Amino acid sequence: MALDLSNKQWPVHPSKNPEFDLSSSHVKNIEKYHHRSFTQEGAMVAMPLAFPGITTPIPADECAIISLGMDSTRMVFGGTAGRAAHVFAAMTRGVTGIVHDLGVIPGATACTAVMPAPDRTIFLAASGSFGGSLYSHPPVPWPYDCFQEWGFSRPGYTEKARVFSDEGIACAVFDELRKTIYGVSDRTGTFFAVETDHEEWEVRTFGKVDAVHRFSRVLVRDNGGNIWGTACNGSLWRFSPEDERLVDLDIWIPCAAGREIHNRAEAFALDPVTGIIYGSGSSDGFLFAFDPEQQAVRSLGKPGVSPTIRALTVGNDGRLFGMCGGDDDIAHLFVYDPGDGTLRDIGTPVSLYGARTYGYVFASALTGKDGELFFGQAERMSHIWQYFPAIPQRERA
Amino acid sequence: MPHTPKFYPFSDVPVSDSCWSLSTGPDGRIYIAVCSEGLGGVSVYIARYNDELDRLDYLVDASKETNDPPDSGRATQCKIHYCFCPSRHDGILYAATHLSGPALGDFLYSPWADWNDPRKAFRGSALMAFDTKTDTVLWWDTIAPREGARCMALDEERGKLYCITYPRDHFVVYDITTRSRRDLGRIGAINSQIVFTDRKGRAYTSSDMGQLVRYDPDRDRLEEIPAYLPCEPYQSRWHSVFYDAVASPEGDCIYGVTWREHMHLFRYWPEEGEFGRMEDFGPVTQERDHSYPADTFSDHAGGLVFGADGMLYFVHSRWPEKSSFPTPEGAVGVVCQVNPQTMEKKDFAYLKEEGRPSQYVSRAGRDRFGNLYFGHVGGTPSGMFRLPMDNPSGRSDLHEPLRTWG
Repeated sequence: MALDLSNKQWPVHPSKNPEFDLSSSHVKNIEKYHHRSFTQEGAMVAMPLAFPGITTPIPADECAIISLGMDSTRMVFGGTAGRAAHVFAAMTRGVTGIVHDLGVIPGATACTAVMPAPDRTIFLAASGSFGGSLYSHPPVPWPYDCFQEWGFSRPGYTEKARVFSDEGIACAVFDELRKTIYGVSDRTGTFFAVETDHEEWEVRTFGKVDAVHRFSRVLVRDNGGNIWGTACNGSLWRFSPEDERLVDLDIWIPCAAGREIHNRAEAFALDPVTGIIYGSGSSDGFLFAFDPEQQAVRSLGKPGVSPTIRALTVGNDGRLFGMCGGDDDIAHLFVYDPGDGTLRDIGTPVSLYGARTYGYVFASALTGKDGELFFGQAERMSHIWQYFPAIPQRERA
Repeated sequence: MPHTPKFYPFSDVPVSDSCWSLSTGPDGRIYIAVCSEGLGGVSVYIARYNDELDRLDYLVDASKETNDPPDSGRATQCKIHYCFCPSRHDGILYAATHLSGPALGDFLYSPWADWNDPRKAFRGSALMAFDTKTDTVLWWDTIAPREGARCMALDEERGKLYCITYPRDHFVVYDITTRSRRDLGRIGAINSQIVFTDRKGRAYTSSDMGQLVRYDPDRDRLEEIPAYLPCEPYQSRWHSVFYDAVASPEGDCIYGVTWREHMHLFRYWPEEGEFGRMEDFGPVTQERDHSYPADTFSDHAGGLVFGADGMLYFVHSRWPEKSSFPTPEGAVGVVCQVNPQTMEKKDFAYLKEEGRPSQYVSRAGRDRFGNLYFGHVGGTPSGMFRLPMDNPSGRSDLHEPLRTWG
C-alpha cells in the first residue's frame, strides 16, 4: 500500500524564517558549531606506529596503547594490548620521527606497564594466558640518522619473573631509588614487589588491596615513594615501602552521591613539583586532587559528559591534561588549571598533519621533557598522539 | 543518442535533497531512498519505481516504522546511505538508516558535538527488513547505536550483514537470525563508501590510506591486507577509499571507482592469490589544474552497474572545458559505457535536467527488463534518472545476478 503524502505538511528550514537575521554570525558561522568540536587550542599530531612511509605499522587489533614510559634520553616507550602485545619506541627528537616496533611479547595480550630504568633498561609488565610476568629489554640506541646505513634492532625480551600464573598484572610502577617494581594483579588485587637489582628476581606478595575485587587497575607512586590505589567504594589504600604495609584509608575519591559502590580510580597523574596526585573516578567521571601529605581529597568537577577518564598527565606548567571518554565514546581533551581552578574542554582530538585522523579512545598519557604531551590511543587502529599546548599570549604592559 | 534518460523528481517529498541509495530489489524492481539531509525534521522514505504506471510509489516512512519521530528533537532518520541489500530467497530488502539531518528547527547536526546529548544525538542507525512481497516492514533493530550506517553488504548464505558506521568508522557484523550485532572495531577516519563480498563470502572495504580491509567469516578476522586502491602519482593514498563497486556478471571480479578528486577506475580480482589482484585503469574524469582542491561533489563518479548486454555502465561528472578545475556549474553526468573485455570507454548517454545539477550519481540499478536507473544527489526535490535499454528478448528476469550490497 503506497503512502499518501499529498497532504503532508513539510517543515521549513529555519533560514527561511522571516524573523531570523540571516546575516548573523550565529547562523552563518559554521566554525561555531562544527570546527569547535575539535581541538581548539594547541596542536595535535598523530604518529603512526611505524616508520612513516617506510614500514607497516603495528597491526590493527594489536596496537591499543595502554601504557607509556619515557627514559632519561627522552625516548618514549609504549605498551599495547589486543590479539598480541607489542612494545614500541617512539623517537620524536633529533633527526628521527619514527616509531620502532620492538616486537611482540610472546604469548602476551596486554603490556600493562612500561618502566624505563635510569640505565635505560626497560622493565615491562605483561599479561596473557600464561598469567602475569615481568620482563626486561635492553636500552634502545638512538639511530645516527634514521634509515641511512645505521639500522635498528629487535633484541627481544627477557622474562625476569613469572609473578602470577593464574592472573595477569593490572598495573606496575618502578621505584628508582629502591630499584623495585611494585604492582597489583588484575583479578584478585594481590599486591607484589620485585627487587630488580639481583640477577634472579624474587616476587614477594603482601595480600590483597581489596576483598571484593573492586580495586583500581591503576597505581601511582608519590614523591615519598608510597604507592597508592583505590579499593571498594573508591576508598584509598597505601603501600609504604618503609614498613612494607598495605593500609586501608578512610579517604574516598569523589563521585555522585550514592554511587560509591561503582567507583574506583581509573587514572592517576602525579605532579612531581607539588606532590599532588590527580585522579579520576570510574562511576561518574569526577576529577580529583589528592594531597598525600595532608591526606585530603578535593573534587575538581567533571570535564565532560562521559564517566570515563583513563588518560591523565601533568604538564610542565602544572596544568592537568586528560582525555574524557570510554570505549564507546568520542574523546574530549580537557585541561585543569590549578592556578585559577578552571576546567575546560579543548575538544575532540584531530590531527591535521600528514593524513588527517581523529582520536576517539585513549587509555594512557605522558608528559615529555619539553612539555609536549603524549596520549596513547586505544582503538583497533591506533596512533601515538603528541599534543603541543598553546603558548599563552603575553599581556601588554 | 537512442537511449535518452528521463528524470523522475521526488515530487511527493518536495523537500528531499538527495538520493543516496538506489537498488534493484529481490523482485527485480527498483527501490529508491528519498533523503532529506539539509532540512531538519524530515524522514527518509523508501520509494519504488512502478514499471506498469511509469511513476514512483512511496512505500515506507522510515521514522514511523522505526518509532523515531522526526519531531523528537533528535537528529532525524533522514536518509539511507549505501545500505540497501536485497535478499533473494525471501524477498526481503534490508535497509539501514544514516545520520546528518538536524533535529526539527535546527540548522545543522554534528555527531561529534552532540555525541553524548540524549536529547539531540542521533538514536542510531535503524536496520529495517522490508518485505517486497507484502510491502511491509517486518521488523527493525538498531545496527549502530548513536551512529549512522554508511554502507552495508549482505551475505545471504550466512545470514550476515556487514556495515561501516559513521562517524567512528567501525566495522559491524549483524547476525540476521539472532538479531545481534558485533562491533569489530575501528578501521580509520574516512569511511569507505562500500562493503562488498566475494564468492567465498569474504567482505571487503578500505582504510583511509586506500588499503583493503577484509573480513573472513570462516576465521572471524578483520584484517588489513596488502592490496591498495590506486590514485594519481601526485597524490598520497589518503582518502583513496572505495566509492562504488559492482561485481562482474560472473562474480569473479569487482569493478569500482575511488572516492576522491580525480578518482580512478579499477578492477579487483579477490580470488587471485592470497590477497587478490588490483588493476588500475587510470583517472575517470578530465584533466584539470592539480593545484586546485576539487570536491567530490563536482568531481565525481559512481553508479556502477552492468547492463544486460554485458557492458559496464557508470556515471561521471564532466564540467565545461573552459574551467580548469571541476565545478558543478554547467556540468553534466556522463553515462559511460565500458567494454569489460577491452576496457574501452565511450559516452553512452548524458544525464541532464534543466535547472539542477546532474553530475552526482550515487548508485545505480538494473530492473527486470534490463533498464538502468541512477540515483542523484542535489537539487530539491531530488530524484533519479531512468535510462531505457534494449530488451530484444522481452525477458523479465534481466535484473539477475542481483547485487547484494548498497
